Amino acid sequence: MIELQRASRWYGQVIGVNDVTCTIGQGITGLLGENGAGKSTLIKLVTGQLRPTTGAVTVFGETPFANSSVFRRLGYCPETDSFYEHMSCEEFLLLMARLSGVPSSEAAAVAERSLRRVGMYDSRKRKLGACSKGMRQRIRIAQAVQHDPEVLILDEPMSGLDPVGRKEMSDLLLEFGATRTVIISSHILYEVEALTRSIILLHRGRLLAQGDVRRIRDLIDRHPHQVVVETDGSARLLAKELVGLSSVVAARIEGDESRLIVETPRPDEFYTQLRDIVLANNIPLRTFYSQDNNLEAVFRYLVKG
Amino acid sequence: MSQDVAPPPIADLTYRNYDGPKALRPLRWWTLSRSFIRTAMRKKAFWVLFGLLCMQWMLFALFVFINSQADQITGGAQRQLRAFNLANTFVDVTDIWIWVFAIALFIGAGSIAADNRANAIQVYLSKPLTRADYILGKWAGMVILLYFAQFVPMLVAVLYAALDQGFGEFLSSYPRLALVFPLVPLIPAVMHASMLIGISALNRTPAIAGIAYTGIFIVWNLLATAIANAPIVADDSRSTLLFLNPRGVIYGLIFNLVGTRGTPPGFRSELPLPEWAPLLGLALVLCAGSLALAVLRVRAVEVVKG
Amino acid sequence: MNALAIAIWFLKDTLQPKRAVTAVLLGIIGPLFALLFRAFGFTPAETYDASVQLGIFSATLVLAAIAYGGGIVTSEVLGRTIPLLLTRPVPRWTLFMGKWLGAIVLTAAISVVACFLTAVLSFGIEFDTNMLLRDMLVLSAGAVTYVSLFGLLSVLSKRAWLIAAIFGFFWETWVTYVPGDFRRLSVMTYLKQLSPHADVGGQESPLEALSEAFQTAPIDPLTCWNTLAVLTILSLAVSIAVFSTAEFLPTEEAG
Repeated sequence: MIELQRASRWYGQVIGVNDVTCTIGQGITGLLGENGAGKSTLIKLVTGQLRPTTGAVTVFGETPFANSSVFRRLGYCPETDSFYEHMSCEEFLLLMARLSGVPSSEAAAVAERSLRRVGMYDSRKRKLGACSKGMRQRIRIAQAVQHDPEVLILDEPMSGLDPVGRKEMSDLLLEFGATRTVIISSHILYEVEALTRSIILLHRGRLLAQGDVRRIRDLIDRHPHQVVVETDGSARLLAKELVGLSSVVAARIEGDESRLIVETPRPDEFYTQLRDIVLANNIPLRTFYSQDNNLEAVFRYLVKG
Repeated sequence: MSQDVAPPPIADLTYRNYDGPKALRPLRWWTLSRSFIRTAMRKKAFWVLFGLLCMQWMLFALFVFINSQADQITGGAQRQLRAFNLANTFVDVTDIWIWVFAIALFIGAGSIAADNRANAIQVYLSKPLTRADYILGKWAGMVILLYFAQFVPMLVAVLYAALDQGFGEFLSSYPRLALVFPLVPLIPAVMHASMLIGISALNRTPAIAGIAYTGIFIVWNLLATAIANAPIVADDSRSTLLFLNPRGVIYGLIFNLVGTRGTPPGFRSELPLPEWAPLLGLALVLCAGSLALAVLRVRAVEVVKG
Repeated sequence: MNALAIAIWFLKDTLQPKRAVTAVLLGIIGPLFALLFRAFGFTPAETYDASVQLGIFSATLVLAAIAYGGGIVTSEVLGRTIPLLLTRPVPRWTLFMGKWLGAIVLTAAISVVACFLTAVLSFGIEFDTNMLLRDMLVLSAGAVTYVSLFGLLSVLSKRAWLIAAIFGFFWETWVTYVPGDFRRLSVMTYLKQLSPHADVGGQESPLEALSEAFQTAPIDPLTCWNTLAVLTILSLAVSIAVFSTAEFLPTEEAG
């Protein structure tokens, strides 16, 4: 649905996006990266605000720049907090609905529906200039989804929302992601992780990784998984049994001999072996978990090295 | 073995009862002015407008050059050239108001309006900076920039004229001009800065502030021009009435300072100078009124209606 | 949403009670001039001529065109709302045309209403209908041309209002004083040829004296209309071409 083929974009001497090739299909995809990684540039390329300096960007098989037929099926929630401040929430959504191609006879109903969807119906008459940051964010999302687009691109969609709002937005995005293509650019890794395992990771304009976060994690050989195993004082005994395993590269005891940190490049194999050892030696096991089999670890390992 | 004492969960709040003197950094307003000047000077458009202002003063140098070649020219043109008065020519060139006005608009329209839009005033006033510091800083930055933007090319042009004539002859022929010309750029600088600060403080959009100031400047001038020629106006009042508007105040005061109203049309009789007292009065009212508006409008909190 | 619908939205939005203040202020310049000139003893004809020439042609028309025409694209870019518009399934040329139409209607309406009120305040109910209709028509044509020109500026520069102000209040005046046919490079020259009004007499500036020494022949009306039309069409065509192909990202005007 969205395809970038060796797309690059320069701003004078500064490279925004550097030779990125990726395909984004149905479902939710998290677009991650540090500040200045190129996320906003990539979004602007996909939403047709910029042209690539080299390479190609296509959405629905067409170039998105100034392409009405693409925009009919695309919804965009920008990061910038800018509106027609003098308009009420309702007036603004009405205008955006009409600009999105909704006939005038249906625009009011569409606007009302999207206001209810984002929990802003009671504040519909309030001027945008008088709305709080969270309310404005809800309106920003409402204008992106109200014309039922096939592709939804959201730049920092949770910004300014309270915890209830974040939950509501997550539910909305999950609902959308079930049948549509959703791209979320965010710094809040745990929120992206709650929505999807499919990520695109950018660093200094380059594509670092794309795909399932767990698969990517597995491929990061130089950073073996760190598994925490908590026992009732039998950490040393367990360590003695585990260090002989080929799937274990290191083990260390922390604290009061009840906590063992094991490093393993093959976690699935390790978990099977751990089970066998615990049962065979009757070692009381409280819990075990991987503390870096997550998005934050992937981000840290790939970006920081 | 000593144990580290854990810090208490609630921090020391005794500072809340402090009622002693606050040591504030002196010349806080200068920090703002410096920042304002640096920001303006980084923009290409400022230097383009400054270049056009310099070209205006090249005209003056050109007049001086042509005058100095008068011996090479014959006939009526020579007689007219010999009638050239440097002070008149200086004032004629100064009277080209557009470029200093354009620079003032460029740097001044957004001076407070842009901060209003970005809610930056709350950030400024959350520092140990008073409203007076903020307004003075912006005003002083604009005055300094406008002054030097005019003074630098003016100085070069006047120096050229002085060198062309010979310093001694220049000083003896035009003592008043030699003395007052450094003060001439101050009048437009102070007037434009004061009025723009006031108008900018009333707006959230630099463009609207700029258009509003342009409207007031132009429309008032047109009105004064027409009214000065009204049938019921006494002849001796026409000259002063013509200058009772922002543009007229600036150039009327300059004419009084230099002592001439410029080259008479057709080289006929001298044009009368406007009375300086009413012009100065209006200038003070406009400057003080505009700055008062800015003081009223600049607030540390964002008032939201609606 | 087509261009007409966008124009109607723009007009409704700009003429909301609080935001209509700008339009009202621009519109009262001419009538205010008329009131003052009558009070200062000008005859009805002099009042009307001076008010229309100075207050409406030179002030209201140009200022309104700067405010509305010069803000067609610039206001969206500086207001950072341009992404909201450019990511809609509305062709860019439609967006531009809609706002352009709205700006023309608004500028023309303000100027025409101001002209009518000025005529009433100058002459009472006994104004010359033909002269008034002529002035209204020429003001409307001026609105179309100026808005098109300033609309082009708004596509090319985020400081369109500043460039338009320099053009409208410097170039338009000064070029008419330059000897020869330089005056043909000024839009106001053609408007004044189509709608001549007597100058308010009095003290002559050196430039005016110079200009009188180099008087040139009047420009025939057909040439005036053609020139205004060509200028409008060219400006509009270039504006649409650039707006449809250039990149516009939100930006801010720094203080």
